[in-house]
Amino acid sequence: MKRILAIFKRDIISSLREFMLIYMMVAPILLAIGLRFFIPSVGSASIQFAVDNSVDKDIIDIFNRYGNVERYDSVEDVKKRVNSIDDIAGVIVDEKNNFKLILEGNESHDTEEIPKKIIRSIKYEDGLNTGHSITDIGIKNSPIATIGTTSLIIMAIVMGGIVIGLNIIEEKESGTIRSLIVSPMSKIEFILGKSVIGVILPIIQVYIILWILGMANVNIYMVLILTLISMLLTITMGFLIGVISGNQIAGIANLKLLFLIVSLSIIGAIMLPQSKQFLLYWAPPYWSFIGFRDILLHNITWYQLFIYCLWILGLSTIIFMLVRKKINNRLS
Amino acid sequence: MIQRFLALTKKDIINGYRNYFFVVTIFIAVFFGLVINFIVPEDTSIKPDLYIYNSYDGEYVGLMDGIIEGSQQKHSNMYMLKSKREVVENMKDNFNSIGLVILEKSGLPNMEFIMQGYENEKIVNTLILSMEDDIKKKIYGDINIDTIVLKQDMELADIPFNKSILPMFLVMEPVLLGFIMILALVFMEKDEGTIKSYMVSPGGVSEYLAAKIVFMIILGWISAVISTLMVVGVNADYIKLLSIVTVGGIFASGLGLIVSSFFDNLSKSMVWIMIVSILLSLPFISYFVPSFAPNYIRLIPTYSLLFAMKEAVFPTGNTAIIYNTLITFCILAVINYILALLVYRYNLSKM
Repeated sequence: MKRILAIFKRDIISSLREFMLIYMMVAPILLAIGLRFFIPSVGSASIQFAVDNSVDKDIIDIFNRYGNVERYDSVEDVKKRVNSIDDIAGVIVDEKNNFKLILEGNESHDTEEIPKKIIRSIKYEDGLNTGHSITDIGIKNSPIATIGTTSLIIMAIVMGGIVIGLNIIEEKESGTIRSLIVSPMSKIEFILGKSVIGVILPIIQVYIILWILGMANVNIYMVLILTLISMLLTITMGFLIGVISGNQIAGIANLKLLFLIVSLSIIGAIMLPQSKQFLLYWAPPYWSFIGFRDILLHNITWYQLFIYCLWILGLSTIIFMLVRKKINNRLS
Repeated sequence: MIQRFLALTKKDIINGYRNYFFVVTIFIAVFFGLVINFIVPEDTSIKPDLYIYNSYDGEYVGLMDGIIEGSQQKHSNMYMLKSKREVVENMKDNFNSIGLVILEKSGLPNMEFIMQGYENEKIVNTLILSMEDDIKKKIYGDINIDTIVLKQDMELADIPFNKSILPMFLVMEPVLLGFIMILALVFMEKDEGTIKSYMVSPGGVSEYLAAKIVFMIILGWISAVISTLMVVGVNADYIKLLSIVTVGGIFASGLGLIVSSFFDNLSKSMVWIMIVSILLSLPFISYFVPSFAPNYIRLIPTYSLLFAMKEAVFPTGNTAIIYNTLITFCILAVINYILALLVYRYNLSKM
């Protein structure tokens, strides 16, 4: 235990000396603050309209109910704006007081159709009076907020593994690892000592991220358990990358593969329909992602969490067993 | 000078080869191509699913049924359910969904729009507008709206969802690849002391940095050609595609060189690599939601790069976007390269 703590202390001192620990702590927090400001802007996203000044204020008010209106001095300016990269529909009124829609030609279905519906709603007379009401099921966080927070949490956990991997590579390059191996320290003690920083750091970061993003009202015990279980894989991968990479350049190449698996799991979990999600069952980050997502949505039971953890644990164990020999050999 | 530059490029290529850069680049491009072709579905949509419970059987039942059937034919993500409870339960399981319950009130259809709760007022208004428009169109007939299409000669074809991801990959991998990989190359040479030895030789920093950028561009070309060939075959405009990869690669590599000059090793710079990478990836949201393009996103260089890449891969004839992006990135690439040179010279003088 003393030796494990000694390695941990050594890692902390060397990280603090080089401001490394501060960087690693600050990065996800900075990103969380950035996300906090970014979320409302995405949440307020809607169709855009470019109108020229010939359009009445009352009409502009109507368009404003459905999207963001930008006003331009002339029809030419409206056309110029419509020609820009993003999707925006131009609306002008001709001399006979008829509405005209200006499109670039490659707009999405909504940008093309919604202005037509608005213009028709102005032209149609009141007819069949269907009643309507609006209710909601009480979800206040947008998908961007939930997905963004979940991705940031996964990133913080993966960073833990990266720190371990890069530390090992640097120790190999500087030759300290050889000195440690000839010391009385066992490999297990070395592995555990090296893992401490990669475990503590993400746990602190995960809670700070939740707090910054206003999502601290989740089940904190579920978060803790899923974070700990998810770290098993990143720690294993960190060690594997650390021992198989001869230098930092090879480390980066190997890290790219780890990022590929993590990104594909997240993108797949978001994009793939439910019927095809089984294609991702092999990837532990997939289970972590859907676990954290459901925790944030208050949409998970302890039993479901247990099943997710079982998947992560099982898959991480298989991966660990596959790479154990390699880690062992390389550390010798 | 040319000879020194070629020798340095050759050295970087050998270095990269020994450290599996080529293997990883080819593996990732092939893996991406396989995932796109065989795993990602063609018809996935990011639009919310609509769960409907319709119990209306009054005077306008034919009208309402006709509207729902018509919409179902146009949109594949509408699901008819048997109760309001089922609608709510399905919505709870799928946070990208909305619900519609149609009941009878005084003989007329009464619609309850069930939202998740996070949607903004404009989206809710648009939803109601769409439903009312469908009803009025059925009753009064369609009203034609005069539409001027500015680029009528554009050859628009529906891009399947899976293939539409390719431009994102091309920005992320062949272009931004240089940003991270070049850092690794530089740090390795810093560790080995190669830079110090090089500085006392007759070689200049400009050749040293240029050789690294060329190596990154070669990797970018390999990645771009493999992934594009696997996804769209020979239909892309490869000359324009490789031109964009080249200028984008110079820009990203230059950025990597600037970042690398402030740090001693990869671990220290890792945080900034992540922050810059995430910042450069923000325009991906606008790619999927083209009407979401606030000024701060439009200012990120990868925004125009992404759409230029899309035009190169799925040509519609809108070449202006490619040329404008090429010009912008040529300027940015030159600025980045000069900045990298200055910062590098300054930092090396302190070594």
